[in-house]
Amino acid sequence: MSLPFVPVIVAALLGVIALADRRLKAAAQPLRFQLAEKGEEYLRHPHASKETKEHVGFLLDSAFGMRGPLLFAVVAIPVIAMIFVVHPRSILRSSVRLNTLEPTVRTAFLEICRLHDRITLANNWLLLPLVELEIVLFMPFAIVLRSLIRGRVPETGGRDSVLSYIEWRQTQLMPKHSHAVANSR
Amino acid sequence: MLILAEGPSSGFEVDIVSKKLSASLEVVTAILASAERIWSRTLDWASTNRIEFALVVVFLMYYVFQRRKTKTDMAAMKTKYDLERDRIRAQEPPLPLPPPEPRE
Repeated sequence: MSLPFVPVIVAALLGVIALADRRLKAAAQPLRFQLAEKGEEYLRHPHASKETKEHVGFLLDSAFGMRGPLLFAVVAIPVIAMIFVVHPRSILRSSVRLNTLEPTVRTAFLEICRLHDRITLANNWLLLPLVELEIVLFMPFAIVLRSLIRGRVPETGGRDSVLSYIEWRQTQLMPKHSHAVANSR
Repeated sequence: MLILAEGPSSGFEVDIVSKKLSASLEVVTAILASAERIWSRTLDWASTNRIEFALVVVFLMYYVFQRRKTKTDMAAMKTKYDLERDRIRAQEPPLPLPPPEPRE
């Protein structure tokens, strides 16, 4: 390949990427409506806990933008892996919160999380795989180290619990989501 | 180098400041020189490869157009999404679908 064509190829790739990005974001719209329906239904659920309602409120509000939390995750995952080895209580808390829910409520919550994951993949198709790659690289070592130190293999520490922890931290940082939850009651 | 303040300690401070200033000026000059080199090389490339340059401009314009369109599309989709959330919160029946456009 001769050198003069390299800028042309780069510019063409930029155009193709921009087109693909637009199509992906548009393709996720039916899933966003599903998320709105299931999420708002969950917020009205009498047996859902306040913490999971706040989490769902965050997921509903971030159906169009998760770039900030994902960029935070890129930086934070090595730190989270270290925390998981030394002091995992805060990360374990998310799974404990789920275990206390009724089975139907838990299923509904997990379904909302899955929908939001898919939407996030369409919105941030480069950033989310990067975050997941980081989780795959760091967390197994953290789990092994934790198991060696404590003599017991932890149940959590996988992709879902780490992403859930990051989303939960973002929920704590953003007070506006509590208004969404309060309004829905 | 100018030593404006009186006393040996003040002169020493001015000396340090002027050294730091000249070092940062050197950095700025180096950055500007490299930017100028890149710019002149780009101009050389554009003048010798006119068709490729035109293609790059076209693709970049297409990129900007797509980004702007994405932004407007996302704003419209967000409005619809917020309306749908409000409708669900208000427990209203689903919005009727628009009638299909007549075929010519």
